[in-house]
Amino acid sequence: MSQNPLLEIKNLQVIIGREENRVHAVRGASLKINEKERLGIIGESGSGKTLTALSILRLLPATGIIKEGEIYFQGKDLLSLSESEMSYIRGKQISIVFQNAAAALNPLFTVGQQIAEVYRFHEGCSAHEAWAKAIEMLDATGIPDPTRRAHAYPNQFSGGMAQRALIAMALVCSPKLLIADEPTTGLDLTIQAQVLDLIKDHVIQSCSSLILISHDIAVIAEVCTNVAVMYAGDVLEVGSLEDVFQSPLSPYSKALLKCFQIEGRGQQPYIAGKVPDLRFQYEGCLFAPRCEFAADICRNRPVLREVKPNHWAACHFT
Amino acid sequence: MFSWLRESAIFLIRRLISIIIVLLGVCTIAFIITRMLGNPVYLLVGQQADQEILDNLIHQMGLDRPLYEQYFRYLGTVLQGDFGISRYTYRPVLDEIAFRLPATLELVLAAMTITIVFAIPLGILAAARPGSIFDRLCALISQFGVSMPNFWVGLIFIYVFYFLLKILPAPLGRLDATLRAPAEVTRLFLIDSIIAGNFVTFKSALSHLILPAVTLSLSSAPSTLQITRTALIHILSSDYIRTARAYGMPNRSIYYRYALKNAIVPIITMLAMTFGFLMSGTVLVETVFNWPGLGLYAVDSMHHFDYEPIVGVVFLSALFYVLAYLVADIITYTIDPRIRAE
Repeated sequence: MSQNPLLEIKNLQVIIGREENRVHAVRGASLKINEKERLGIIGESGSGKTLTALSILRLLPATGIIKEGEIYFQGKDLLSLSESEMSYIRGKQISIVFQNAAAALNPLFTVGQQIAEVYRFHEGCSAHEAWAKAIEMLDATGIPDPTRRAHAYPNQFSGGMAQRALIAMALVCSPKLLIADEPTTGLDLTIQAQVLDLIKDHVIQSCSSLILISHDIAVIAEVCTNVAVMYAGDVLEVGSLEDVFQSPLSPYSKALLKCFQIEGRGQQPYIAGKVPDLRFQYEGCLFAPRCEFAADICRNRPVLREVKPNHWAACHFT
Repeated sequence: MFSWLRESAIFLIRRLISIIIVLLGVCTIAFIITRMLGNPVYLLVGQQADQEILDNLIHQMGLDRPLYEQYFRYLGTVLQGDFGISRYTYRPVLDEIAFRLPATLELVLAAMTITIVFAIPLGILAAARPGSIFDRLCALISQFGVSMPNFWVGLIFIYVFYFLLKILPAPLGRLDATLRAPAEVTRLFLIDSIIAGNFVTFKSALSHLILPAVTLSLSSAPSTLQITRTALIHILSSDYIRTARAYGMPNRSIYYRYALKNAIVPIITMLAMTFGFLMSGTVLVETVFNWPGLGLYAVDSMHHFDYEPIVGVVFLSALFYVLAYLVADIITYTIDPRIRAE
């Protein structure tokens, strides 16, 4: 990680919810992503993957706040930008594809309109050009008969088509960084593969970077070059796909991978114990209560350090 | 294009059929109620009349026919707009209604205007910053408006603006007694006086209208404000608004274009409901302000055991209700493709 990273997250802490439901959802997560890298963030639900991604675009829900941390994009601290400066980053420099595309599209505007308006806002072109661009993007994302389909409303699209349209909208301004948050959840298996290929191909062709959030190791292995493993709001391991999947360092990564490798043969393995209650703060390693190697030293939180070249882990035993 | 026309036509025909069914239901209920109230002949001639006169009248009014025959005959006359003759004034009910409907309509339209002009923009602004001082102030005022009984507020208004401040006329009807109604075009005095170019009449009509209209709007404006606010807040937290934000769309377009268009559907539906509710809910306000409208007419008729006018007013209220819903349905149908898809 010697080159200047495209995006760097340092010690991100996010709190979400009100009063007794306040959850420390992200606890000092740190991440880097270089140009042309495709980083997969893997973790169980509630591990803070999505909130980390939403923090990059400063799109946390109303009850969520970034308590601490810095997020640098091309050297600029995104957290210090004004809302209007931020709106030139969103969609143009960094874009995002949400899960459940059907709900993510405005039901009262045609799909073409929604794509065209994003393009027009960022590129300042004529409405006519923007419309042509929208059709071009629908075509590029594999929507049949795009000239006609551009006039359709989201309710006239199937789930897979809506996801393609949303991808078209995210990519219309050729962003440097694309965030895809579980983009294939809820889609048919065959369509899942198509949508993943679409995202991967586009990112490769446009020489941009990708953050792919998923709880499915297979999805990440299919698309990404690098992996970050998150647990209970912290990043426990980062490295290249081969390093992390072939020789995982953190005990959590090892346990997680084991669950996937033996899948389908007899009894499904699982990690004993449960995720810590995120309403409380903890001094020590978050995984220690479930870790077979846990010892006294684990009462102090391990920091993410470079154990091998470009392979980082947060564990005292590596 | 033609398929669009056909779909719209099917939608309209369906709605019209359901309207006819509703109106038939209203007629039937009105028929049953008037029959249950007893033989109208006794009400008409009193207790002392001798049997021969009674039998004659019963035969004359067709009350000796089988019930189903009476029902269909009744249905036929009502659907032609013939609500019979008032047993108290001996004038056709339809004429009375035609005379009084514009007064109620003017009152309700004025109250609706006040509601739309004040409550909806306030609701929109309150939703922009939920929990702000402005939002709380709006909530407080609506709470206040809802908890005040209509007639009581009306009386206070009269006391303050007529009795104390002497800036508005006595609560007696739609115009000063010295003035004549403007030439009939719409029969709404405000509009007709403008058409006639009669400023004195306009001023008088307005000064008579303002208090009852404001009073009436108190039963519609607070709920309108709150529903507008709630609908917008709900929409602003939706996935598609987050999408618009995620792609950098400026706040102004997000709020006034993406969110507001989505809010129109619930707001229009609620306005239709409010209109129907006000059309049938003017009784107290009309009584307090001696407003010569339908509500007052219905109450007067009840005092005289005069049932034909009541049936007429009930039928008319139902008619306005369904018509308001029809208009709302057509508007939401053109705005929302999801409704078109159903």
